[in-house]
Amino acid sequence: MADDESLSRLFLQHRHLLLSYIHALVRDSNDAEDIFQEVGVRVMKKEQAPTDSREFAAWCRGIARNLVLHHWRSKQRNPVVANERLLDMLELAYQEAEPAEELSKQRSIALADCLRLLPDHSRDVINMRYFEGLTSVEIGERLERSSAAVRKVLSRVRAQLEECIESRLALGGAGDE
Amino acid sequence: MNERLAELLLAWEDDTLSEVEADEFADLLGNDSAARANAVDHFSLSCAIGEQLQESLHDESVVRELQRMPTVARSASEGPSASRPRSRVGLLITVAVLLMVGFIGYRFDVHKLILDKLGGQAVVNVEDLRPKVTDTFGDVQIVRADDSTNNIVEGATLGLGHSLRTSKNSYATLLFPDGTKFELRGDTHIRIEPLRSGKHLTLQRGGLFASVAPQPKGAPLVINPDSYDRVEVVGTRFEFVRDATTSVVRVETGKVEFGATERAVEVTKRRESTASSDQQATAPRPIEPETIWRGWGHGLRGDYYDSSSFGGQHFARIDPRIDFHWGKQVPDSSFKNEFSVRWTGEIEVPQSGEYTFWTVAHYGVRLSVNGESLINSWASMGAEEDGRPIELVKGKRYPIEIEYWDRHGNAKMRLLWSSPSMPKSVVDQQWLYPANNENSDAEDK
Repeated sequence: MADDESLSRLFLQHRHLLLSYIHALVRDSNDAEDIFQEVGVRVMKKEQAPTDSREFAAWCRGIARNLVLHHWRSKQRNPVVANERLLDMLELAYQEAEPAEELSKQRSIALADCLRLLPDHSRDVINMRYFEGLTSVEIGERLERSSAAVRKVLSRVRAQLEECIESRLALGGAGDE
Repeated sequence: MNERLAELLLAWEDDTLSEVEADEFADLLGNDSAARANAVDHFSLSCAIGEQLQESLHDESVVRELQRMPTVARSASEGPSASRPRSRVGLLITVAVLLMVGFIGYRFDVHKLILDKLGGQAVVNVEDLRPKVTDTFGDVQIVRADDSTNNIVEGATLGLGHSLRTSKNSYATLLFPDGTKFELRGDTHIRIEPLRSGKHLTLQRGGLFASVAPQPKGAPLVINPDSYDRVEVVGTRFEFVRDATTSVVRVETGKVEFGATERAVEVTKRRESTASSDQQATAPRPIEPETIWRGWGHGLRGDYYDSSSFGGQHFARIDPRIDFHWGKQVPDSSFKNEFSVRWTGEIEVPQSGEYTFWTVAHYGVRLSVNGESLINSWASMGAEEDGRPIELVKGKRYPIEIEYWDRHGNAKMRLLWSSPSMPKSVVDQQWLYPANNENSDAEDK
């Protein structure tokens, strides 16, 4: 049985990946954050938390998955989301991912800079998608473009961001000027 | 990354995958560990972007507000923010500023401004704060700010500052546009507070069962702000009862914050906490789910008559469960020493199988389920009676009717059930649904 301190340490170790997992399932930053907080609350209250890092992460994802399913039921989402096999595949993908909290932090810092460097029209699309939570179709309506064109833009801008982050990390000491 | 995978990932995030595409997506992930790694990277980037955008907006609005209000900024760190465990300092400060702004009387416009920037969510609209009265039973009154009252009509919308008062044996349901529902017990008095930073209500006395839909970020629903029994909730189901001295909150699902702001405790699923004016909220303790009152959608309708033969003076109410021991008392002070009750509604079972119903009734009882008479003991005199077992299927609702009478005191009536997989217990509210025969309401006094 894990004590409180090692429990919070474990939880922090998996913070980014767990939030990413929840985000992958709910696909909305606000909802993902709320569910993440709720998972945290529940984790700290459970007594049989596994002490092994991987088992612990899987256990957290289990709690998160239940909360997300509940959330979906309350929102009556598209039935495709309940495709069990797809959820299992996503679970597998996260099982295989290595938690790299420190790297994730550095990436976030780099990302903040990279977002600022984006040209306005690119940042607008990113804002609409990831802040306002609009779908490609809705963004397309606003910009009078097809959803396919919007997805192309999103792909391109995301690739730019990835590249920008990698180059900053390669330069070393992301965030220290 | 594989182009098709990239398309599917974006479609998944848009929630526009068809069943076929969902299968294709699952196949792609299942067959290729590189695809799985790509997917995780993709989602992690989406997540990080969302987080960064929120963060930068928080920071900007905090900076702006701090510049505008230097006095607030200084006290922000010792503000009430301590009771809101949040991961980000930026948000903490914003919340503190928000609360302080409200406190020093900036009121609506500043709230609006900050909330707007905060979550990127729609500003709390006045219309979202005004509940409709969707369902009433018996005598329910609306009380306006100037103390004028009139009887409520179903479908009426309550204004900010209005109160609703239910009398004994009556009830009402309040429904907000976002689906948040309050089911009010009899003898309850509740006011809609004229604040626009979220749903604020004051429960002066009585009880309610709340099903709260998720609330906008930074604008939780609050009952009894500034009181020892403050309840703050973002989205959950719970019961809240208050009398002159003591308040109890019982949570069915989710969590609420309960108690004076700086001493609040977090009450989670299947727990309760008590607070009173001279005692802060107690540490939450576990409760049996049966003890939570689940609102008027559950229970049986009881028609109570002031005679042993279902005639004479009459009132109706909904009883969450049939478990009474009146003794020498009568259910209503207007009754003399004999009375009769007919409970009607429907019953559902947790699992398909054979059920046995039991009654403990003084003086006599008749029970029928699904039209079959199971117990007919009009002079039962307090004995425990078991009915003929009956086969019931999960997911179906069966009509149930109980007739009961008493004359000589020692009045009691309990309805229990058992099955091979369930020990004998009082039939809980969650399995019962009241009959909806409004026509007899007219006779209510």
